Amino acid sequence: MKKIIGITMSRRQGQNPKNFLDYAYVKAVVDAGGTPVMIPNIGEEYASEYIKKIDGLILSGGSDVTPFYYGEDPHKISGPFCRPRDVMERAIYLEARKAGIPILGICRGMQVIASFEGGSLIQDIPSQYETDLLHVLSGPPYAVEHLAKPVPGTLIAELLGEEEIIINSIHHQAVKKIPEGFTASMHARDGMIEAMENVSAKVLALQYHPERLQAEYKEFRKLFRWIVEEAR
Amino acid sequence: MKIIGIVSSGTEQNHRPLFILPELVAKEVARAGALPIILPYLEAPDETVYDYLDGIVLLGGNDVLPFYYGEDPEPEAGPYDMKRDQYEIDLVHEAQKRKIPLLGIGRGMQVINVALGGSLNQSIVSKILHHRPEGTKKDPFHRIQILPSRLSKIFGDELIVNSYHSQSIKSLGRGLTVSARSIDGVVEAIEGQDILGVQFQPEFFQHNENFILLFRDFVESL
Repeated sequence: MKKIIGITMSRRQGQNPKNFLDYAYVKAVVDAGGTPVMIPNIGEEYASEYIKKIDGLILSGGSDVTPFYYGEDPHKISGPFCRPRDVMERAIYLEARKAGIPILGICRGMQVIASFEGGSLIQDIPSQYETDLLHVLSGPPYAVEHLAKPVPGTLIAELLGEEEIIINSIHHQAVKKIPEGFTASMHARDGMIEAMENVSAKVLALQYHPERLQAEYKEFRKLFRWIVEEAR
Repeated sequence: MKIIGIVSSGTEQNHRPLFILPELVAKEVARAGALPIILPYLEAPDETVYDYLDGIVLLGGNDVLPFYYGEDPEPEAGPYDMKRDQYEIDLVHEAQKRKIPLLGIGRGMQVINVALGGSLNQSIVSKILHHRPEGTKKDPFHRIQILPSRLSKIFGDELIVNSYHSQSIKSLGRGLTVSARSIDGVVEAIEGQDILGVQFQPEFFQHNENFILLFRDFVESL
């Protein structure tokens, strides 16, 4: 039996709301030897049932986390927000933590973890963070690439090495305050936190998108192998 | 809770493939008492997935490519998504082999029929009934007559349904029977061993306690 890895989905509001997910997440789990299934935003009351049925959890990318989860009001350049997804992911994340299954947060996923663990976010990098480094393009394809360096002795360094490497970047928010029990484990040259982890809780969080890199740059596949191997 | 796999549909955003799921159907499955898991149709299911699933729901969407039932595409038909067709047809075969119950909704019913050797009318010609009105996907629209069947045990012998389709079942696949028709003879529901298919889309009637009965019946059959 392969390990079942549940992946959360984005949500588009409307009369007939849609849930969606980039194929790259699914492909990355398959390439790492796991079996991916997608978890729809049907309500927090189902979170514990989902956790019973999966062996590992990936929190996928998407829109901004509603700021009151970390005690702030929305900055003028933030959003869009999606409360139903916040509510669902909060419940599912906390259930996964309780069950002790491995959790991989990607982009928004990392920000979700920071928000629900007592950390906080930079709500808009261009207006709230002093840097010349570009973390997102203003138009399609939005993604840029920049350098980042794992912190020696961390899980990220164990998986990706201690050398500075090229990562992709598609975000206007980032983790400001690292939650208690977590360690920053990768930084951009401007000091931006690009990864954080809580190894004893089996939580790994990345600000970049390794699912879009792993097909071409196989070293990033190790991040997905990590969750498949840690899965119960 | 039992696990029901719902096959997603797909689209592209900035040249990246995306899986899409209408949330209403997942919510209705959950309300009926099973846990919905969304299946990504671009990756073939492995043994783990088949062992994992208690039931499968196939949803509405694009037309099934006509070569799967030995015909060429007519000008009015489409759009198509061959990868989804192939995934769902394989899924139907495997589900039948493993006796995993299937619920087909809209296109889902048509895919089940095609997978079992049936064929489709590529565009419905009806002088007496409109099957694809504008803007009434969420409202009851026309009547269907239900023959004595699993479906009639749920709904009785007549039901007013929504309607949003331009194709319909022509010849029936192996082991399938018709359990409902509209007044112009269009097949509105089919049944078979571990198979229930409806042409209407019951997930749009969340406020209507009648239509949840279909999902409940399916969950109870798992």
